[in-house]
Amino acid sequence: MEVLFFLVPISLILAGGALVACIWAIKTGQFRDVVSPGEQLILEDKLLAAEESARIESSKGQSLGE
Amino acid sequence: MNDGVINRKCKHCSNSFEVKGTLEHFCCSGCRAAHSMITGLELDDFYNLSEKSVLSKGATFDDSLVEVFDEQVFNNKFCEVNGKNTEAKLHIDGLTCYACVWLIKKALEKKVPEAQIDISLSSGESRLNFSAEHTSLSSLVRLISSLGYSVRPSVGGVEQGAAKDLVRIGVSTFCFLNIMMFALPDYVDSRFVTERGFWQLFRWISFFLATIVIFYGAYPLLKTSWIYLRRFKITVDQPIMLALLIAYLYSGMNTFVGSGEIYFDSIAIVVTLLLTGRFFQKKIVQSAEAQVRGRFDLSMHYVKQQVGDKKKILPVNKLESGDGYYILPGDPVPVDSKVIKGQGEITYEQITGEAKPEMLLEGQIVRAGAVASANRFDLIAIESGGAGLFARMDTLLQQMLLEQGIYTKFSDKLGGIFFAFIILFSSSLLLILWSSSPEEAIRRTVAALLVACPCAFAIAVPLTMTKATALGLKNGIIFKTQKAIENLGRAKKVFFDKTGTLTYGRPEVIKVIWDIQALNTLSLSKEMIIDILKVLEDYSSHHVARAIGLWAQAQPLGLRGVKASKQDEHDLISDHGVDEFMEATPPKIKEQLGQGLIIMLDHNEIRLGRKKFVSTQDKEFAPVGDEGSTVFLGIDNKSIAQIVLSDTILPEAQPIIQQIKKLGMIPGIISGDGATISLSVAHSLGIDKNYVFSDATPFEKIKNMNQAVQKRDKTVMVGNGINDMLALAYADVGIAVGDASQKAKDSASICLLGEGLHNFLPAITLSQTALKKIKICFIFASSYNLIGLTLAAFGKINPAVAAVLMPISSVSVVIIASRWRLQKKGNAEWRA
Repeated sequence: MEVLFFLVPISLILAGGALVACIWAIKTGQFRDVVSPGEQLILEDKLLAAEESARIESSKGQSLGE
Repeated sequence: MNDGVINRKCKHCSNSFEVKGTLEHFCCSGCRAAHSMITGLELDDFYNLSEKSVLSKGATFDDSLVEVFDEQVFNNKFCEVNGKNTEAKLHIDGLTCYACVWLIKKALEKKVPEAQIDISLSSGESRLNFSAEHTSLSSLVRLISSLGYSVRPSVGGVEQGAAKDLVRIGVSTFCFLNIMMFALPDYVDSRFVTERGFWQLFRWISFFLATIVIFYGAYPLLKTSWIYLRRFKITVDQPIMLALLIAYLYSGMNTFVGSGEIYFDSIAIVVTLLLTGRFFQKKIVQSAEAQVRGRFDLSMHYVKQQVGDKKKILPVNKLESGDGYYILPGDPVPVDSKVIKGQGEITYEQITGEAKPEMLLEGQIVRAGAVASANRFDLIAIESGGAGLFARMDTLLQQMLLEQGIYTKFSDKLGGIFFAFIILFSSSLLLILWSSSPEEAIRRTVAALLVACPCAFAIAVPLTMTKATALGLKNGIIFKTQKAIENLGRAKKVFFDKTGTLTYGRPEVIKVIWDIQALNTLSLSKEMIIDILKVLEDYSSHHVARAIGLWAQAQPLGLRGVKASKQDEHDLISDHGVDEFMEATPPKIKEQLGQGLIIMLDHNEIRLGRKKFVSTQDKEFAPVGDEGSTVFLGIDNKSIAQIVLSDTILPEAQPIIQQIKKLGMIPGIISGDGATISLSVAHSLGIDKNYVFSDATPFEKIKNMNQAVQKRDKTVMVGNGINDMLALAYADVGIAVGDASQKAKDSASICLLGEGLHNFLPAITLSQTALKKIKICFIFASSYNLIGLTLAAFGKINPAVAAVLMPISSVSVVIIASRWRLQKKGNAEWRA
């Protein structure tokens, strides 16, 4: 059971590390806006899809034009 | 009835709007401008990308004042210069979804590639980084505004505050969880940890973590407790802080000594729950406030000046007597001034609440607060900016809002009594037992304090208020402070502004008295005249004319081409003439300022207005009485009718006033209007005339409330205009109704969205329910505490048990506070 004297401080240090990471995340503003990153992903998908279809349209036009 | 009116969706914001058969695609000029800007930049994709079905309407902005963003005195409050780079903190209104963020970023990319912007969608806060060499802040603001968004400087600190709170909660939770872990052995059979080494180690670690919790986590509580203690005021934080400190010190002592109970886990859980609850409360209050915070109105703080061809801007408080400036339609006159150039209609609506237009001519003096309807005026100030009416109102308003304080206070009575009781109880317990056994005395007192800890209040009250605020938000009621809910629930006297709050705020025709004899003499029919009056509906320059036009439109008769009974040369109006007149656009209407209107037909003249203007012939008229104001109608110098107009009372006003009286409250009226009209409105609503005050300026409104109120009664002021703003801030609860002006919304602690008073009773119900819930929580918690106290006093409570009872009481109170069941009252439907 003596090992606890060793384990307990280690667990505290590990937990402390998690706390530090949490504080760092808060301070660098990662919790400032929790809404837009999700929407941004969907939006970029849409944009890509729009560009794809635009490309397909123009390439269709070309091949038809020949 | 109204032909050609279609419902259409705006091409920009997709809000539906009514349009009359024209090719109008936009609901407002703001949307139109935004749309052309977006298509101009070839960013049409925006409309496809937007997730929302309805966007916010395009904001119009005062282009002439955007230059002020470049002035250092203005922008050094929210801009930071780092060498070549300037960072401006701005707030952008009107963002609906990420597509808006994309739009602004893309537009900036296209137009000003060196600039960079970071926008937080949920709050609207953004950081704009640009180089002052390549571009200016005003051009960037102009660009964003032209896309339809409203830009203003960021009121600093909101984000940093949130980050600090989150860090504090994070650290407290960390400590709390670890303390719990180390406290576990004490709860289970301690045979497992008889080895003293661990036991002491765990206690020391808990002590260390609890120190962090008390001095860092509970720091806000410490601070407010101390501040209010110095002022000899009792708040809910103080009993909590006292219990926590005593528990901490006692447990700390036991840690040093090496024996006895420790309560670090209870301390930690209470602090963590408290911080979390208050964090959510703050968030919802901020989101409530954001809903009613207005678009930044530069015209209230700056005046426009023109020297030759050059246009300048000057802050109002730098305006001196003798300085020249100009105002455009819609701008308020900031200080008493003399008119150098220009003439036209002005209204003092912002001061009196009445939209009655007056004439302003060159050389005349105009008082501060006047707003020009349609013309530009060049003026010279005759008093300095700081002394102007608006400046004085603003200063007074700031003072009042500051005095109210931001700290949300628990009902002083309840908190004070409870606190006093605890102190009395615990000190007497201590004294009684000290003589026999000091150790036991301390032990029992600490157990008592722990059990009696008012964490129930500290957690339940914010939670109930948060729930009430959230429910309000979903139903169009904005509670800006907890105190507002409290005071509204305990309101005794309710004062209403008249114009626009109890009434529609616009004149309406209530009666038309025709002179049948005169009509017959002229072989005219009512129908023909009504037909002609219909054109006035579109004549928006004058409220009264428009009201008459609307009335004419609504008449069930009025078929075109109804012939007069006699077709001979005595006919004054030929059908042809009437038809031609109706076709002609614009209709030939001439306005004689201050006198009336002339509708010019082919051979005849119809006049509307003052008695002498309409007909110089002397004639006896039937008295009209107090119902409203009279406008005369005549043709070719002969009067044929009296039209009576009045500001119609809202249909829901009567039942609301009745209900208020049934609830035991006293309604009253404070109005800028004259006594006759105010009293007649009061009479028809059933309001005691002793509570009716009229002809009140914004300052007098406060005085009136003062007169009618005793110290203990809570007063409510309900209003909608700038002239109400001081009264709204002064009352115990200020409620801004419906389409209130921004100043009113800023001064009020509650805003009711939507038309009219339909949210008024629900707001009261909500507040009263919230207070009821708090009372229930209080009763439950205190009976629970009383039992616990008694048991602790007799040593029946194992302090470990006391420590467990504390969170149990909190949790059960939380459950009570969050279960709301609201019934439908009449038409009111609750969206939960």
